[in-house]
Amino acid sequence: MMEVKDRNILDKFCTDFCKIVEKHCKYAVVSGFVAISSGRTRGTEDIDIILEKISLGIFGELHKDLVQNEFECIQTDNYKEMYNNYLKTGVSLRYIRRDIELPQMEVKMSKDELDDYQIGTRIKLPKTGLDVWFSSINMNIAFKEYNLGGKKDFEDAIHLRKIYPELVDESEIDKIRRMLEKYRSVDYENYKKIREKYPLP
Amino acid sequence: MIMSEWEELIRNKEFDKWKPVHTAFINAQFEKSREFYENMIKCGEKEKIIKLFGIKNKKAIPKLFE
Repeated sequence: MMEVKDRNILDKFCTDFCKIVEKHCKYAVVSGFVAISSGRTRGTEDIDIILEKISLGIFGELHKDLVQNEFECIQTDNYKEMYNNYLKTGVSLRYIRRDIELPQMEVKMSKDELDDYQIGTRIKLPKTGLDVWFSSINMNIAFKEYNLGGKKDFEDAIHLRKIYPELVDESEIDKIRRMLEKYRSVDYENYKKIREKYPLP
Repeated sequence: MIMSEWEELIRNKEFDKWKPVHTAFINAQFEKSREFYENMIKCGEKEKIIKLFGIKNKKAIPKLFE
């Protein structure tokens, strides 16, 4: 386990936040921080997290616990408004440590089978040294290559493929690609274009 | 698969070699950005920060509303 002194600002922010969330519901950290905590040398201002579908009551308790631990939502301090106007409608909430603008935790709640699958297949990644649940490597690769599709995303995906070859499963990535087609969008034209510049390692 | 030296360190869990460098890199970005926002506050530009981050909850960053 990583010594505390080696943890950076993002590590500490993420682990402190997730330790509180874990008491109330399941979650998965997704997107950029998965690659960054795995040694990718780029920055981010925020960490993305998905919560399992929870009731207003459970969210209220979670929010109260976060506030007691000096986290605040920048949009509102009314947990009912957070739940009904943001989480339920798919708009993310942004939490910070009180009085510190960055980093931010971008919080969403599971809204479909794909999000449920992200949480259902979450894993811990010992190579990061963090005791945090992440979405699977295959999930991250699929999202980055087929849905997000930018230069930075492809570079993240290549980094994950190189760091975790033992976890990469092309048939699972393909399964997720089909779920992305159904629940999000897949830009195949963009995929072909960028894949030419960034071939599989 | 061609790997850089950096990628090998991470893959082999050599924390003591890659993590301090990575931590310094990540922390430097936040420290610099925080320094910049503190300067904006000193220059009386709190409103810009409020707008930039879309802050509607005053309890989130009280120093911007003092």
